Amino acid sequence: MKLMRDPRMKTIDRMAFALTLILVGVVGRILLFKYANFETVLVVSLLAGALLGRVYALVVPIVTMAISDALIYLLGFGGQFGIVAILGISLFTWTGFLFVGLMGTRLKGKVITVTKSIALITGTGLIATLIYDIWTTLGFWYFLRPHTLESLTHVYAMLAPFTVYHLMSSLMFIPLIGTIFTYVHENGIPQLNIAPIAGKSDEENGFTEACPALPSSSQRHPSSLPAWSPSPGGPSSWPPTSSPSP
Amino acid sequence: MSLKDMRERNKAIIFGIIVMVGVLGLALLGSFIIGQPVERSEIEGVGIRLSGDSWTVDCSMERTTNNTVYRLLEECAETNGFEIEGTVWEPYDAIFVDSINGLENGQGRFWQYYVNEKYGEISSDRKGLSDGDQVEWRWEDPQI
Repeated sequence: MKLMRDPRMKTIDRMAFALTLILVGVVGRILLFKYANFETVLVVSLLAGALLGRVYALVVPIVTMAISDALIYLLGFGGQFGIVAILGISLFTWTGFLFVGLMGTRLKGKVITVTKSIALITGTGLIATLIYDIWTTLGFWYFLRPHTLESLTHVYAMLAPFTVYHLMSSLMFIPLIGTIFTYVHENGIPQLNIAPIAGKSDEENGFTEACPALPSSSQRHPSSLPAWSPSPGGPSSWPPTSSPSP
Repeated sequence: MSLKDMRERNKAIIFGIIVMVGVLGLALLGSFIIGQPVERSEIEGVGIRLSGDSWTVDCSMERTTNNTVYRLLEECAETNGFEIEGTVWEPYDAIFVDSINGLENGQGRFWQYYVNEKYGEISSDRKGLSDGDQVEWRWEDPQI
C-alpha cells in the first residue's frame, strides 16, 4: 500500500474525501465534547496529510476546527474565558492540529503493507498527540494563568491525566478511523453488489424480480463488476487482500 | 488464502492486540493517576468559607460525613439555601464548579478552593478532608 496521494484520485474525489474527513472530525468532536480530550480532529488532520497531501493537511484541520469551535461556542461553552482567551487558545489549538496535519504529510511515499501503514500512522499520531498537548498547554498557561515559572510548572505537572486520556483517544480512533479511510482511499467505497453465479441465467440468479432494471448478465460489461466480485475463473476473497493495480 | 495474505492477517491480529493492550494500559494508568472516589467517613470540626465578589458565607460543622471539599460545599449550600452549579467531566469523573450562590465563573475569574490555605490541585469532589480542616472557596483570578 502506498501512503501517498493517489494519482488516480481526481480532484473532486479528493475534495469529497476531505469533506468526509471534516465531517468525521466535526461530528466526533461535538459528540465527544463531554469526554474531554477524546476527539477525532487529530486523526482526520493526520489522515488529511498522509493521504491527501499538503494543501489538505492545512485545509482539513482549519475547517474542522472553525466549524466545531463555532458550534461549541454557539452552544454557550467558553463564555467564562472571555474573547481574548478564546482567540488566544484557538490560535494554539488550530496551529497544533495544523502541525499534526503536516506531520501526516511526512508519511507520504512510504510503500508498506496495510497493517504497517496503520501502525505507522498510529505511531506518528501518538507522537503528534504528545506534541499537541505540550503546545496547547503552553497556550492555556499563557492566556489563562499567571505568567510565573511556578504557574507554568504547575500547569505542566497537572497535564498527566489529560495527556493519558488523549493518548488513549488517539490509540482508539487512529487505528479505527485510519483503517477505514486508508482502505477507502486505496480501494474506493465498497458497494453491496449481488454478482451473478456463473453459468446461470438472470432469472435463476434472481435478478429479474429484485432488479428488473438491470441489464442481463450477457449485456453487462465485466468492468462494471467490482474488483472483489466472484469471478468465474477462480475464488475470490472479501475484503480484497491487495490493492488493484493502476 | 496465500502465504502473503496469512502473514498480513497475522500482523493485523498482533497489531490489534497491541492496540487493545495499549488502550487498557492507558485506561488503568489514567484511573491510577485520578485516584478512587473518597469513601464517606465522619470528620469533626471542619469549616468552609465562600468568598464571592462582595459577599462571604461561613459554615462550620461539628460532625459530618461530607468529607470532601465538594460535599462540604453542598452541605453549606443546603444549610444556607443557595445553589451550586457544576459540570461533570468524563472520563475524569470530576466536577468543575461553574457557579456558587448565583455567581458564575467569568471575567477571567473562577471559583477555586483552598484547604488550610493550600491551593486545591485536584477536583473538589476528589479532595478528601480530615478533622479540623478549613476550606475556602474564592472567586478570583487564577493564582497558580
